[in-house]
Amino acid sequence: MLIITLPIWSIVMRIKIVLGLFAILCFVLLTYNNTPIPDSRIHLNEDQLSDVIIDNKETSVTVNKDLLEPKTKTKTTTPEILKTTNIYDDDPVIETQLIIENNKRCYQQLSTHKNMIKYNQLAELKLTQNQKVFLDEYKKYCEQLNELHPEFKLTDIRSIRKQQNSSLANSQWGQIMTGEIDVTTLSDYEISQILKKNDLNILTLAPKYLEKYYQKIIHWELEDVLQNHQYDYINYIQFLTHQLYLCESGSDCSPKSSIMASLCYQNSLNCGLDYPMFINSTLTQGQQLDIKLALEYLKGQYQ
Amino acid sequence: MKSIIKTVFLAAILLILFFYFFQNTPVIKKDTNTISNQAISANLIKEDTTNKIKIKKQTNDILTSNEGEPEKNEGEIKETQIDYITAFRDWQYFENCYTDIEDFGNNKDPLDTLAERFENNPRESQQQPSAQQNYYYQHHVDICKTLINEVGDENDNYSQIRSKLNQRFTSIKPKTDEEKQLERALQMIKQLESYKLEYNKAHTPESNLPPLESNDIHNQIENFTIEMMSVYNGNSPLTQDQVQLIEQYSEKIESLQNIVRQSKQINAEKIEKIESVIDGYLNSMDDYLHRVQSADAFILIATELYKFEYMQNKSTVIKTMQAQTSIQDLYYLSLLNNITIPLVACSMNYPCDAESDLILSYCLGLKDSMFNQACGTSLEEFYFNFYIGANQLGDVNNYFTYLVNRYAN
Repeated sequence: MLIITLPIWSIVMRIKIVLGLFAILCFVLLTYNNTPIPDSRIHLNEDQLSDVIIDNKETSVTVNKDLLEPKTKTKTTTPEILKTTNIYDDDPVIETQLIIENNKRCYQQLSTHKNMIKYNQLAELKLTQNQKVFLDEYKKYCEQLNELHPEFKLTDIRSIRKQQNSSLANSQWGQIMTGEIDVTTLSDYEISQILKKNDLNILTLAPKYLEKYYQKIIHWELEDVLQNHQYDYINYIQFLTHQLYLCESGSDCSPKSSIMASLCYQNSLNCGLDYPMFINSTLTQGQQLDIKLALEYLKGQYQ
Repeated sequence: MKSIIKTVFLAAILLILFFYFFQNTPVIKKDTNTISNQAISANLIKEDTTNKIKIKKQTNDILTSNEGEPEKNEGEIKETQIDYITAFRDWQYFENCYTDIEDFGNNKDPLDTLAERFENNPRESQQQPSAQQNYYYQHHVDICKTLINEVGDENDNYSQIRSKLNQRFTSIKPKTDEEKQLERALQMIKQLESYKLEYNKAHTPESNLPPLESNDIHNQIENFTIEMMSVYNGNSPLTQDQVQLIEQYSEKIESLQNIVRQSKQINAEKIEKIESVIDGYLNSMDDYLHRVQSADAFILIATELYKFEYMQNKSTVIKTMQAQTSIQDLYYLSLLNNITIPLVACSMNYPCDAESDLILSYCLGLKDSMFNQACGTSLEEFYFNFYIGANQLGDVNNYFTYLVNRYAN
């Protein structure tokens, strides 16, 4: 009996093994088919990109001409956009936008536009004593800045915007800002490489001009990193963390910075703090922990 | 040894096959009484979840029992025997039926509408609704149909039915304590809204000119404008004198307009006065909330009390909360409100099970994104096992504890 059943058992086992291997093969093939297909628009490989990546360790909020000297080496394989334009050109469009961005609160504070004056008057009614003292000082600082840099046109944001609109962008990032380069034509990979330049001038404006990328890629990845799925909460942590990254990279986050003046306007507890102090004292333990995780994630995206 | 390897190998294959074939099978839980460990740690143990009000079920039961009854005349709201709270929730829920009404009118399958929504859903790259989502969407469609049949006619549009549901709700007299509390909460919200309207109006700059003087200036502006227009007849080029005259009129008009402009000022005292009225009223609502047992009333009042509006001074209620918790960031407070207030309501027997409005709205994306993870679970399970991150859990727990300690009877 044993002699008869053993070979049968052995045959059955072999069939099972073959079937099992076949099942594994099917599973692997199906999984492989579900793997996202690489974006067909990607037309740069790592080697090609490394040729156009520029050393940008020394970045500054104020655009420094020396740093903006084009230092790119391009190969014939480089795609059209990168062949004709360089990210680090002395680009008046970027420069003007950074002036606006970094002095946003002063433009609001010194505006001579009647609606803005009215808004400021109303806002003043809501301020606590602490806020009033701080923001009076801040206004004086803005006035001094206006005297020192009349070219910033701090009393009239519209005229500097006009100036910006009449300028010609001569870099890739500038052309992205003016819309000459349609961001939607860039692949996710290309955008990720722009972010990886880790240029403060680009990163300061990146969430605004690469909004769709931030929504489509960074937002969802951050949900996974934080294991939190509240859309608005993730957006908020992303915003707070991105700002912290800018601060750590050299952006002005002192109590007199535009970002801190805005936060003082919103909450009197923030007046007189710098940005890292704001994170540590105004935000909850939970927010701080999530920002810490999100910062590590953003470092991976930007470096 | 070989047989062990073979056994392990076979087990692995079986596991893979099992996973492959059964991963998409919908498991629809009808009810659940389990609460996650996190929920327990968050003091969310409820007395008896089985006592939850199954509002939709009640509605369906009532409808079934009314099927044989004759219908009322056209234009009248069909008579129902539902209670005040159910009628309120039905009226609220109908907000979610907007697209369904359109679908019924266009003879379109509402499930196709759900599928279309998923085509552009970036969350988790889920491009089509799961079986569970289709099941619950059908459930939602049935609720909408039920509500339409209950109060409306075939030709009624969305606003007509919603208005009829509102009429039905307001025509019911609250009987129980909880119903009376809901009625009181709604009255309070209405009163608060009227104060807020007054507050907004107070921000419009007012002229401090005496009425007679103000009228006189307006008349002068009008006369100068007429005279200026009459200088030029439009047929021949303007002479030097005419140009000069027009400029003179223009300057006069401009200087009068400047007087009016400069006389307009914001009345800070008036704003401050209304602000203190609003703050006082919020304090009264806060006092009332201590006595409230109705979850619906709690949601309405607490949402108003802890709502922070920019360009408005912090209320005493918010200041008290900030002094006793670590929540200082008021934008974050608004995000915490969205989660924590419903959780407190759940602990007050508000429907939070798999068929509740709250869970349906997450499962189907009726108000927020679509979460397949929400379908078939309770709100607490969904929140603590998926929606809220581990780091945020502590903040939710602290805020939840604050609200419960402050308002629990």
